[in-house]
This record gives sequence, C-alpha cells and structure tokens, in this order.
Amino acid sequence: MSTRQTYPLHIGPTHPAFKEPVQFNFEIEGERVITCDIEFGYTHRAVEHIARERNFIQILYLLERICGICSVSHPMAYCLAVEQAAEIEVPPRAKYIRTIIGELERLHSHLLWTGVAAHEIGFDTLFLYTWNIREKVLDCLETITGNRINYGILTIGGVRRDITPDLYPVLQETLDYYYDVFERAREIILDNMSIQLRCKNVGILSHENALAYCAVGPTARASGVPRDVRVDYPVNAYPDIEWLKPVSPLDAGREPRGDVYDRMIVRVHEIHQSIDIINFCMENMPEGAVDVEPKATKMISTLKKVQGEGIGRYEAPRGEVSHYDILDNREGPLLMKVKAPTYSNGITWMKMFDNVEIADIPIVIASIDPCVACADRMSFVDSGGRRSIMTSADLHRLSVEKQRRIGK
Amino acid sequence: MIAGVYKFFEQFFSPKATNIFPVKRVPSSIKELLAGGDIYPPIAVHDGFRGKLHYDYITCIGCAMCEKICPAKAIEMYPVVENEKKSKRIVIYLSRCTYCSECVNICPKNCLSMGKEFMLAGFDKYGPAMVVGSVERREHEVKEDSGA
Ligand code: SF4
Ligand code: SF4
Repeated sequence: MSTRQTYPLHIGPTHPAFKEPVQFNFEIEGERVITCDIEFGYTHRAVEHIARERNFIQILYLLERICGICSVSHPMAYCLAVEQAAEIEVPPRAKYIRTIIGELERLHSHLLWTGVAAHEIGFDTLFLYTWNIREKVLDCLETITGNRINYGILTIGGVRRDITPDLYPVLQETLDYYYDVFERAREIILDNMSIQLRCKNVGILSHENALAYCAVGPTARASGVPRDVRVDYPVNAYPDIEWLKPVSPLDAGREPRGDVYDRMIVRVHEIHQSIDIINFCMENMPEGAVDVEPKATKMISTLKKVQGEGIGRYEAPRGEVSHYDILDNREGPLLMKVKAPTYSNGITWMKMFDNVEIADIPIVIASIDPCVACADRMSFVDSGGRRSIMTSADLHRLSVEKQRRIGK
Repeated sequence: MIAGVYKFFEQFFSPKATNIFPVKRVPSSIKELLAGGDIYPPIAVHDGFRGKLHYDYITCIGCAMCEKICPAKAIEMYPVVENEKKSKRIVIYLSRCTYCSECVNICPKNCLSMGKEFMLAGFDKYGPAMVVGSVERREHEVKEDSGA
C-alpha cells in the first residue's frame, strides 16, 4: 500500500454545502474518497435534559423544535409513548386528524428535500420550482392548524383543533392541486437528464449494508429494505389503510440499487402516497370528539398519578423516530429518550462515500435528508487542550450512574 | 424536457409572488413599505391563525395559570393594586413567545386571544411593540413593598 498516496480532506463543521454543523474527515486519492469518518457533537442542545424541567404539556412545544421540518413527528412519538404508559385511548377522529397532519408534513418535507437535493447539484431552477409548489401545503397547514411550521396541534390524548367541515374545501383544494401537479413534477424531477447524470450510481448503499447499519426510512427503502413503521407497527389511521405498503424503487420500474437516484424515486413516490392517504382519511373521517381532556391542567394531574413506561414509534419523513418515556408521579416524565432517524442513517454515510468523487460529496450528504441537530449525541470533551472521546463503555458507566442517581 | 419548457412559460406569465430584494432603504417598519404599495403583500391569513397575542388588562384576575403553562416562559407577572387589593398582572414578551396558544386555552377569564398580526420583527425586544401589556404595566405597576 506504500505506493498509494492519500490525502486528508476535512469538510465542516460549518461549510456552505451543509445546512447544519457536522464534520467529515475524508481520505482522498485523486478525486476519489477512500475512507470517511464523521464527527458529530457540534450542535448538541440537551433537549432531553431541558425536558426534565418541564411538564407534560410544555414538552410538546419543546419537542416540536427538535426538528423544524419533522415538527409533528417528535411530539407524535412522545404522545404515543405517554399515552401507552398512561393507557389513554385516543378518540378515532383524533387519530385521523393526526394522520392527515402527519402526511401533510411528509408531503412538504419531501418537496423541501427535493429542492435541497437539486440545489446541492447546482440545479437551482428545480430548487425554486419544488419550493414554489411546496407553498400550497404550507398554506393549507397554516389554515388548519394556525401555524405554518411548528403547528402546535398535538396534545396528549388527541389533537387541539378539529378539522371542521368548513376546512374540508381547503384540504380538498390542496389535494386536487397536488394530484394535478404531481405527474408533471415527477417528470421534471425524475426524467431530467441532469438529475439522472448526477444521481445515478452515486452514493450507493447496498441492501446488505442498509440492513447491517440499520438504515431507516426512505434511505432503507431505496436500498430495497421494505421497512416502514406505518406498515410494520401501524398507529393512528394507518391500520385502516389496507393498501398501504412501503414504497420501493420497483414502483418506478427500477431494480433497487440504493443510489441517490433511488432515494429520490422513493421520496417522489411517497409524495403521491401521502396525497392518497390524506384522501382516504378525508373520505373515512369518523365523527366524535378530538381529545379526551381539553384542559391542560387536568391532563397533567391525571398523568401525575401514573407510574409506568411507554415507547412511541412513528414514521417521520426521514425515517423512524422513537421516544421512550418513564412516568413516575411527576408533572413531567422522569426520563425521556429521543431517537431521531438521522441517528441511524448518519452511520450509513461511511458506506455511501466509498469511491465517491469530491464533487458528489454534497449530494451524497444531502441524500439521506440529514437532520444533524436531531441526532447529535456524544460530544468531544475538550479539557485543557486535550481531546478525549467517550467510548461506549464510558457512556454506559455514566448512564448507570445517572439511573442510580435519579432512581433514588 | 417538454414538461420543463412548458413549466418555464407557465411560470413566466403567472403573477409575481416574490419581491425584488433589496429594497432601497431599510424601513423602520415593514408596514410602511406595504402601505406605500411598491411591494407585493403577503397572502391573507385565515381565521384561527396564531398571531400576536392580545391581552385584556381589565378582565384579568392575576391567577398566574398562563405563566405556569407557558412553555417558553414568555409571561412575567408584576404586582398591582386593583380594587384596593394586592394582585398581579402579566406582560408577554413576544420575542420569546412560540405562538402555541396554550395560555389562551388555559385562561379562566378568556382575557387572552390571538390576533392575525404576524409582522412583528423589530429592533427593540423590550419596546412596547414587542411586549404585550407593557403600556398597562407602566401605568399600574406598584413596588412590591410599598403595598396598599
Ligand atoms: S402563546 Fe404559548 S409561548 Fe406565547 S405566551 Fe402564550 S403560552 Fe407562552
Ligand atoms: S390566566 Fe388569564 S386571568 Fe390568569 S393571569 Fe393569565 S391572563 Fe390573567
């Protein structure tokens, strides 16, 4: 190997190609990446710690802000976890409204991602086009929930706002609009020569690696792993939707290879799937109440009587998000654990970067739709100029100590 | 390819939604610029929009429910003397507010409500434009120990 000369290339933590701080250390040979190492820890916000000082209702708004785009996915997983622990049964209408909001969010998230991906390969016309059609769903969300982003509509035991009959036309109009533009948008995005040249056979994550590295969401599905929490562990209205199945590049007549283009196919097809799901929910919307307890104070005092634990899993636009909460006669959870999709998908970068050209680095990074701030966990501890890395054994020790401390 | 060209012409002839940037001078308020009519206005907001909070000083009883529930800790209480009794009233720092409307839902007297105003950016986050109830505060606040 001595004849082979490689050079290190560091990109990050802040770099124009990234939306969020993360550091990549590449070893390159010529224009090709040989190995890749990732350093997280530049944007850790200690959300789990902040949550310990807040009550059950206040946490909802904190969790909405874990991720600006999946702003309903984190509260959803949290609500599911707390409802499981406290054995609260959500009324059917609330389940359907939750599904509608969740799918509207997926719709706008995938459109946003398509724009970002186009921007990363320098195709700004497509970037502006997808962001333009995304406005419609944001306006719809604003009309239904009151806010454009961070909707504040979920609450433990249901939703805070009903979709009243006068909002049906707004929703219907949005759906019609997307049914209308979908075919053309699909053609502009997927049949485009620039996109195909830049995305095909780039950043390949094989089926075996997707399984071995526990990829989730569209990243896994593009590698031919039919994994979708909405199908595997259905909650909300998903159990009622019999035709729901994980999207695969096969739907577009392409054998899954796990490259960036496959991930694009999966996301574009999921846009259509989301519109279908919302349509289904609107047609089959049950009547009835939308929450079990509209008063926040009463809900908190109910939860204060509960001892138990719960886990909530939900398919966010980027993949599976799961929350684990322990309730122990407090106004808030005793402990909460958040697992965001990028936590799983970030590791797959290591494999994707095999033999990638330097010019393709931004699009490969963007292809998993990363949300670094959601996933940031371990930090480098920099004391007195020395850098030390916490190993898994260290973390385990700290975790055990903490459990002892709070268990007292 | 055809779809792309078609889309281009469609966009070219459709009405404009965005504004040329930058405007010639920094306005003290975006509303002035809108009133001048030389930029395209934002789309209208619907009923139920969560905009700027409105607070009714008269009906508030100072129960502090809103202060306790506020996830952003945007609400501050100050002492007043109303009807010859010591009481408390609130101010809301809009720069901290997350527009979640939990305070509106919890208020037993319905003295909080959310309006449709959303262009709230400003330079002074402690100025009257960004602190709801600050005018009343200046008028009614009493020093804690001077009492009744
Ligand atoms: S709207 Fe929410 S964040 Fe704003 S003052 Fe009310 S409770 Fe606090
Ligand atoms: S909850 Fe209502 S009545 Fe109570 S202090 Fe707040 S604004 Fe006043």
